[in-house]
Amino acid sequence: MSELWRRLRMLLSRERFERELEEEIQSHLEMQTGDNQEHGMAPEEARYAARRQFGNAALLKEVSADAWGWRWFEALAQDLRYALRTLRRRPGFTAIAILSLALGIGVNIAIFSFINGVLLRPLPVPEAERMVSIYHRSSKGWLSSSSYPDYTFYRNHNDVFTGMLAYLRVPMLLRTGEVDEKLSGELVSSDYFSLLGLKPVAGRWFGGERGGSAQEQPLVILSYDFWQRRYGHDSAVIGRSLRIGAGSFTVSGVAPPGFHGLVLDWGDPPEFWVPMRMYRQAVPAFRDMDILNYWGMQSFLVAGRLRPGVSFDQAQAALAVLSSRAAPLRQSAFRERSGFTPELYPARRARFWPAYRGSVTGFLALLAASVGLILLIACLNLANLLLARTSQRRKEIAIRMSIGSGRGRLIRQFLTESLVLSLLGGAAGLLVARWTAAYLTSFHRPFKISLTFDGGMDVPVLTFALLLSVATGVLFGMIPAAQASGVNMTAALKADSLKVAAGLRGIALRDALVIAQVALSALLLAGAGLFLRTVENARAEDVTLDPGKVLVANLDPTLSGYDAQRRQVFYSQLLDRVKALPGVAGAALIELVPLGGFRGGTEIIVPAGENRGGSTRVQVDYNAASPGYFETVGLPLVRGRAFTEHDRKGAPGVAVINEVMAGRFWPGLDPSGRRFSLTWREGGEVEVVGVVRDGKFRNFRDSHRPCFYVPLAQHGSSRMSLEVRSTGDPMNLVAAIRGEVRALDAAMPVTDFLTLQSIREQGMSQERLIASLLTGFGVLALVLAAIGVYGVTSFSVIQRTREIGIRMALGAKAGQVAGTVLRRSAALALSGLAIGWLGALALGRLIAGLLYGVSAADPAIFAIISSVLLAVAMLAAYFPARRAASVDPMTALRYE
Amino acid sequence: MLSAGKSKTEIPPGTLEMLILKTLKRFGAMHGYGIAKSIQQTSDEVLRVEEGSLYPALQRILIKGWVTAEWVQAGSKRRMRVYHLTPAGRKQLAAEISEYRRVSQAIERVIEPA
Repeated sequence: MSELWRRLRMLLSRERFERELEEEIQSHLEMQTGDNQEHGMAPEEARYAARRQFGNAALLKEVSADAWGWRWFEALAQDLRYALRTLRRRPGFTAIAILSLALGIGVNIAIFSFINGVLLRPLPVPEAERMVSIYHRSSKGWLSSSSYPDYTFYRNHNDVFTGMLAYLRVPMLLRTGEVDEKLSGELVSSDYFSLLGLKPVAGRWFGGERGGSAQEQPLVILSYDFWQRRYGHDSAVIGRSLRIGAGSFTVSGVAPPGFHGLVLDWGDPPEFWVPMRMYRQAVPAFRDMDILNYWGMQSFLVAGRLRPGVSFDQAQAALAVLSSRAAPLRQSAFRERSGFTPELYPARRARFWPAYRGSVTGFLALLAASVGLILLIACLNLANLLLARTSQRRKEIAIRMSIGSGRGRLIRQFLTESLVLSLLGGAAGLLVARWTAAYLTSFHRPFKISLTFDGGMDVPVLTFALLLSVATGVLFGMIPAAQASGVNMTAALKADSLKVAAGLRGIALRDALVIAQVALSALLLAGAGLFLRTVENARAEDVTLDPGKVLVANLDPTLSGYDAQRRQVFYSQLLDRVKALPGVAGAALIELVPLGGFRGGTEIIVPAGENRGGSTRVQVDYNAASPGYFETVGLPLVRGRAFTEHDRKGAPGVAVINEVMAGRFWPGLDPSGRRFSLTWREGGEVEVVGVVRDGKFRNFRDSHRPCFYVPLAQHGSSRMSLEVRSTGDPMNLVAAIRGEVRALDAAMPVTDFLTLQSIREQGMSQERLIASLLTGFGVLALVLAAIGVYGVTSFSVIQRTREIGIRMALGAKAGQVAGTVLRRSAALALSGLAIGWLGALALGRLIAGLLYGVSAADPAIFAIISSVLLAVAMLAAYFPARRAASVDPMTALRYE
Repeated sequence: MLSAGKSKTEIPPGTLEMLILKTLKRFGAMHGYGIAKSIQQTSDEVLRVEEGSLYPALQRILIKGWVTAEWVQAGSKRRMRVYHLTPAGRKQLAAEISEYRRVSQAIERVIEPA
């Protein structure tokens, strides 16, 4: 029986312990009394002498109990019981406190779960810290991933890694017999899993890299989630075959749960993995490409596991040497580029494109700062409420101190109360966190890049929640505790509590708290205003007409193995069918949807003579569109004509350009009939036939770039978006459009039905997310600040009742009295407002990069928020002021 | 605490446990009153065990596992808690005695007139 066990048993049978000790003492006393009588004492005297000799039995019991080391625990239990009783007696206060804490702590947990999921959580592989990700930086400063020959070269020549892996995440078509499914998959080098050190939960991995022919086999590894969803954990799936792309793959194994590939970006997490060398079968779009030997395709992500004893820096240096040895080989793919230097990252820091790290952490920092402010406001509010309560409980506190409660014990009692509140608030906050996280993830790509991560509640998140709750409790409990323990006993015990110095100090402190609350609300509201304006300005960049009426869907016939000719036929048949549907005002195909996040860049040659200067080779944007596109999205034609059915393959090449391009190359001239050459097409000269209004392609922050459109029929685009203008609710057309696609090809997937407006909104989801968060938080903060102003004002009115009575008796009018009260609150609000604005101006500079078309010193936002805050503060002070004005002098003077 | 009769000495801190253990070893299982009395008698009334120290000390050595306690019926109504030395207590006693000897011999050497 160990010592701890004995201690625990004693704790659990505490009553028995006391009973037995008492019995032991009694028997001791009886024996002593007996002995005393034997020595000739009278019975009474003998008992008395025994007792006197025994001494303080109560102290003895306490010291004996102390020996077991549970005294702190009993004091805690007592404090807890007392705290719970106090809180139960005031259900209204307790409910408000727990609710505001739940909100304050909950949003912080939610944001932390994001930070945890994106930045903190380690890679789910053994010895993850030995994994290194390899990127390249060009001499121009651009970061790129690696080509497959880069990878094989490094793998075959390095002596710093125990092994290296490469992977490419691409959408693949899973053919199920019904409508095919476009799923995210990864092409991986064959020792991918074994190098990561993972164990399959069923089946086995691909054969080892040097296992010879193993990697040529059409095998597939399923993700755990896919296995669970599709096959319900059935191990019998091993050995079954799956049709992926143009090939048939045998299920070889299942990856462990929680493993979703190494990176969080690059599209959805992979549902399955196939050997790299099977790329032609798995991804028909690559059928005619030699991706394993092409140095120019720097799309592969490469990682290595450091050999024991090799440091990160040694690996970096070794790869730099190898890379310069590979330089002559790379020349084949890059005409003029001077070279690439390998850039290594610990794999944990390369969970997403390393160049975006700053923007992702900046965004998370902004979120963390906003939710931190919210919690701070909630704390201030609670400190304020508790202070008000402390002044009411001053008498109780004084009594407890006069019967010997130590100052420390009192502070502990107060902290226990606030900790009980904050822990309850934290528990409720977990619910708030779930809702907040669900709300935040409902925004499409808030990180600008697509990041799929699990913001779930794991051990670090729960630990954070607990620590945050405790810290919160200490923070808002410390102020009233310090205040209470400073209570002057004799003064407080006297009935006339109006003159108690501690009470007045409390008022000054509460004023400061209210000012801080107003300042923080102003800060949050200012932020909300800036981001609402940003979103509004961003929407104004959309030049399409009524984009909510245009339905967009994505088609990728190349995935289904269509060649260029079949694609053209498919597209034109589909357009004819969709246009004939009822409720369709127009339909067209476009390669890149406006504000959809992508732009196509290309080089063109504007020959001498077509231009004021000589022949120029320039980089411009391009897009491919079917006839009817400009009408369908409502992009106005400024000059010339749009594409027609006659602009087909074989007909003279044509292009429609935008105003910026017209102004750049043919300023002051009519560009119609002018010519330029496409560098990607042999003899690709095209004639300008029309000019359309400028628009932004990738996102609203783009500048207006020179851009031209070519007819779809003269350009072999593979992936196209169908845009359909509806006369009614565009979502009603989804089923009909699916039907038309199915009628042409039963297995062809058509994905991502969204309106043009939703796409635009998704493109600014980070700004919208911040705007709605800050608006919500700002309003919340405003309400809390109003409660604060109301509380502190009514408290001061109650405390000054007698003074007000005297003034009124001396002839002050009700209006004057109310005015004094209102002026005081206005002073509080204005002080807070001033501080808040100074803060907003300072912080505004930090977030300038996230704003669009508005600056932190925006006068309109300042005016609106100042008047709203002042109005709310005045409204909150109105009721106490009215109460002050209605004080009856006679009653007030008799008061107390 | 007043003590009647001739001068009695408080037991030096830390040695009470050793005396309790030794008493239990010498006389076998015993209740608290008996332990106090026998220390007093064995020391020729020089050492006086305070009840206020005895019972907490008994709790401390109970926690350590050096003694065990059991209730025995004494007479029709009364029960007494009787303490037994455990093997761990025996070992502890030996250690404490040798430590005590070492220290007191050292003190002896220091105060011995040279």
